[in-house]
Amino acid sequence: MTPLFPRWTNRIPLAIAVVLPLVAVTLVAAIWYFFSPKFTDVGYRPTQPVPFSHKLHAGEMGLDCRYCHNTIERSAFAAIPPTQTCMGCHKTVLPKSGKLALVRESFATGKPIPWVKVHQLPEFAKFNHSAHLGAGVGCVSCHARIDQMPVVQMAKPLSMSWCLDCHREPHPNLRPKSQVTNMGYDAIAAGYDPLKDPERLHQVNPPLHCSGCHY
Amino acid sequence: MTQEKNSNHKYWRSTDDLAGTPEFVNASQNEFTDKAFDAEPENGLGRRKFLGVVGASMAVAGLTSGCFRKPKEKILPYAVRPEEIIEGKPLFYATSLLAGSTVLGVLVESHEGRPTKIEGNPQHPMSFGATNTWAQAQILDLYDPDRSRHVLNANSASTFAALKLALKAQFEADKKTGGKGVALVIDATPSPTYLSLVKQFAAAFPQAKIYQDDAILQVNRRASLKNLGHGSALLNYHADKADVVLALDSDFIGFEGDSVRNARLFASKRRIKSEDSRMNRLYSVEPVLTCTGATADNRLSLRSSQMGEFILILAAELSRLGVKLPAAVEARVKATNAASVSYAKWVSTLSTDLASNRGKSLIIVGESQPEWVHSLAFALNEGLGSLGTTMSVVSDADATDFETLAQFADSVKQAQIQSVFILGGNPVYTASVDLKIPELLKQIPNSFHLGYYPDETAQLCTWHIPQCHSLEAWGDLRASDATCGIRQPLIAPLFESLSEIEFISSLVSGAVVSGYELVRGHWQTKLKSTDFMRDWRKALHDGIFTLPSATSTAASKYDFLGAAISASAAQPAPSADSLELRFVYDSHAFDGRYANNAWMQELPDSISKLTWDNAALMSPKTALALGVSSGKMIELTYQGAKLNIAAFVVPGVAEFTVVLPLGYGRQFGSVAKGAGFNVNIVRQSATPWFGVGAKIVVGTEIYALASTQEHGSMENRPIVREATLAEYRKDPEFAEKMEMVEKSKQKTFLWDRPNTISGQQWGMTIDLSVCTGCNACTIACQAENNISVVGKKQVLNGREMHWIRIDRYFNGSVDDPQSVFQPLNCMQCENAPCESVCPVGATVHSPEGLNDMAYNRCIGTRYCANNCPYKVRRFNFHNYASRNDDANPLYAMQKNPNVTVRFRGVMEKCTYCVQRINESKIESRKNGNGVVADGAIVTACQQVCPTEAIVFGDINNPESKVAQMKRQNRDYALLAELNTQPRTSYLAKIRNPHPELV
Repeated sequence: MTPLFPRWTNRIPLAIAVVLPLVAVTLVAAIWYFFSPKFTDVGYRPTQPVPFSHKLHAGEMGLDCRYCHNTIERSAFAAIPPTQTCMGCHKTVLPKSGKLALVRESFATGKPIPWVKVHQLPEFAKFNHSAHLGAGVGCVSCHARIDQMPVVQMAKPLSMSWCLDCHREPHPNLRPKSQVTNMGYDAIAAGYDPLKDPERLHQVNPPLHCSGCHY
Repeated sequence: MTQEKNSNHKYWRSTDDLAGTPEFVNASQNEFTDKAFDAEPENGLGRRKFLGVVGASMAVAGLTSGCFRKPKEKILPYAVRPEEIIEGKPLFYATSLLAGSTVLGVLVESHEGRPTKIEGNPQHPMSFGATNTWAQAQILDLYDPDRSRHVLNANSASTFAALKLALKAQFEADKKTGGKGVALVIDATPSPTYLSLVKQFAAAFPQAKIYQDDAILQVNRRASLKNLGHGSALLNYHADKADVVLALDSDFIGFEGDSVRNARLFASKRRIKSEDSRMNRLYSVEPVLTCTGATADNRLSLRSSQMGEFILILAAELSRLGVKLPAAVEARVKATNAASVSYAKWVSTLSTDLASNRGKSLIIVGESQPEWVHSLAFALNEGLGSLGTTMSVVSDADATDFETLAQFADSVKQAQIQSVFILGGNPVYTASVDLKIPELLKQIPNSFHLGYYPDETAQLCTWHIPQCHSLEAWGDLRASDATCGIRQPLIAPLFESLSEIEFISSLVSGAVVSGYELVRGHWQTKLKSTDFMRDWRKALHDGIFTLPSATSTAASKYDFLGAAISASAAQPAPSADSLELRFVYDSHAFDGRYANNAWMQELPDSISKLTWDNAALMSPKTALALGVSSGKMIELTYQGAKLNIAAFVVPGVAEFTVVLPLGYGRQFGSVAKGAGFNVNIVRQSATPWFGVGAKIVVGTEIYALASTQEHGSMENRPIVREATLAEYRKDPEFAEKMEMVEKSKQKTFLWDRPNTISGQQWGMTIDLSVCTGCNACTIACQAENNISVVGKKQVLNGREMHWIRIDRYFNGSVDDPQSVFQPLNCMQCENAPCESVCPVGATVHSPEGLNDMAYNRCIGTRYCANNCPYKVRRFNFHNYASRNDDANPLYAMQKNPNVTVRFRGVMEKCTYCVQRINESKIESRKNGNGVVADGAIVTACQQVCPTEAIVFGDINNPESKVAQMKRQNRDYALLAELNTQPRTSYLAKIRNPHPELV
């Protein structure tokens, strides 16, 4: 009587024992990497309705961040400037540029320019710009060298573990309050020590508990 | 042993609890009501279907996930940003609101032009920074999906253009006839501009007739003051100057009149620091337990019809004690025999107390009492030296006497009215049945109704015009102490609509004048100031005008009073066949105007704890005599009219009295329709408040009433602790002695106390001595924290979502109960039982002592709620928030942007308003030394509290207000024997009953 299963089937258990862990490890590694914000979010660079270049405005011309994003020191929200702010200059600078057609239209009709949000946090995570600037965290810590980006992209993962890295060890990201918008400032080169900064009335103590950010 | 200690106060939540019926015992031992698991989602998927869909969508998601990212979100900045706006920072505007029958000065929070929350204006003498439930709930009314959106002509949508033509034609015709055949039916909005426009209308159309009808009118009080020679006037109470207060059929610190002001001033005399403190004393005589009666030190349950007799006996006693009364009264009360009544000792003790506190006493009579009772009480007040000290008469010269709704009905019957303009009110629903307003309205060829809702009256009028919300239009409001405030709009009308002053301006001049011009114009003529715009801007900013006092100093005339007393017929005593009816304004719906507000509907009533319904309230004794039990349908017959209504047995109702709350049984509105019973259909205009002669037939049908009164029981544990002032003085440590386990034997921390970890530690105290059970905190919390409404069915399942609830316990005998209120929010335990059972770490402790709840981590095991001894955790059994917001996107506009809206399957609870804590912390770190100053953080419940019963702050700072409160010997922790170490603690209730009446 011929055997029901051919001889090669004896190797199946061995094959399973070798392949299954390999598949499992690959799967975990793949999810670990591909599902994390480092892969999914970093580099997100949507096309904006107006081709605004931070490289030109903030970098080459050296506009301070707060010229346009003027709520950052007072509010949780870093407001996108109203069309009015754009027109403050562009009434006289490049008044006929085709790239600025939407800006002029917005100013004329009062309809907002539909900018695409680049740095998206989930609704249950509350980030307060004014708190971070008040503590002397520079814009560059979260937004990277925006002054070198012709098109804004997400440079940091903005994931919870990434936030916590700094909340646990904030000192490397601290700088004098006068330098928060200085993209090129190097705290180490400048020899800045937050513990010895006379302008600080109290030391930073970022929250690590849930309700610090989630409520 | 512990039960013996507690035996002097046996507390109970309902009559079933007191009797210990098997149903109650069973129910109290079950975490969920029996019905809970029958419930399938109301609209949505069943459990099996849900699992199927989840499985399928997971499979699909597996194929596609990782291929796309989060949905694109747009940022829409202003094209031109208004100067005052900083995105993300709310602005507060001062305005005035009519909330129930009180005018409140308020500050409204606005996020980029979207009003979200109403707070009291600390500068306004009617609110002192607090508000009431109705003021809180009005923000939801603004976004009510059922509000009027179109002009209606004969119940079908029309346009403002068509309306303007109709009004123009009407105006031209009236101009020729001088307004003959025209009737104006106005509400009693106490607005100076409004009243001046009504006067202009009267001048422009001398033949026209003006009628007034409103629940807030205070008909009897005004009539009494007029008879007494004070002209058009109102009373203003200064309870902070009174040591002895008598409330006669009046809920003056609960829901009647200027309750917020009264409660604040009353509580200021009641807040005790130690056993040496002094306390005022409140006597309350009332036919149904109210917040005032529950707070009272001595309460007497009497029928409303007995109040006349009561005050006559009181007058006789006071006269005997040498209180000078007017001659007419003196002569009349001589004949009164005090000894004949059962409460003779009560009234003689009261009169001794009043007479020995001359100039520091106050008698307050409820609006429902007839004129002569008000006048007699005024005479007693004047005799006791209260006038000018604890009470003042404030002239209300703007108010004119208009004809009543009954006179309107007569005129229509005589066919004198061809056109009617109804402004504001809803007489078809609110009018007494005998006036037959619905039938009469149909006889009038031209009828115009201006109203916020397309309600019962709108449906019977030829034209219906949408009215603006109070937060959408210019106006002004005058409080009963003559303080005037501007009502400024917070938002442009969401739908095309007119305010009442704009509408009436179109009647006067034939064209709509803008509300801003009307109000400003009125005040410009009235103030006659040298720099009007400066004064106007100041008033806009502060919320109030600086005006000279309007206190009337006219001498009172009493000559009519003897005859008025004699003319009052003694009411026959009721019996089982001839019951006394007492109509009351409902604590949720008022006269019906808040009936379509879901927050108000779901709020448990202060005493009955009923939600979503009204019911015929009666005492256990009466119910027994009639064979009625809670939930039974009864047929009530009164003066030929019949009413089918569910009965509800509640202690504290006077014998053979049936209490009928108004405002329910509406024929309109997706929230209001189907809730409760319309009791106006047995109300008679001659006896609008009480009358004898009702009969009831008990039906067989059982109606499901959603009362939360048995959701949680004390089970003889010392949950509320209470003593009289005398007992407290004898034993200042009584609260601690009531512990189940002696303090020294209670377990304590295994490790370090968390508050040694970092600087500021949050804690709260709630002073039971001053809590009046008004429910304002519950609604304020709901508005601040985006708390969902769940509906009647879910309340029946015990799934209400309020983060702070008010537990009401009765004590004493079932026939003459006392009642205690205990607000209960998350205790923020230092040793939190919920934290140790959460399998995913969704609820963990913060270093500042908060019991954090991370919604995004919660997987909905509900272990925490099971393990919470205080039962303060709330679970989203359904997707309430998006169900409500999807059905009506307008609701979403009310949401507080600083608080996450919770999804199905997520546990939630009080967070001590952590969004406000974080805001203050950030401000203190940005601009100061990083330490939050005491008083900088105000929780929503604390802010709204009329009696300042709730105190919040840093318990690590010995100077803070909350730390001082916690050092008092009345301070106790709830269920301390469980070693939960709660951060919220209570200050034991102290009552100050007269020693003779204990």
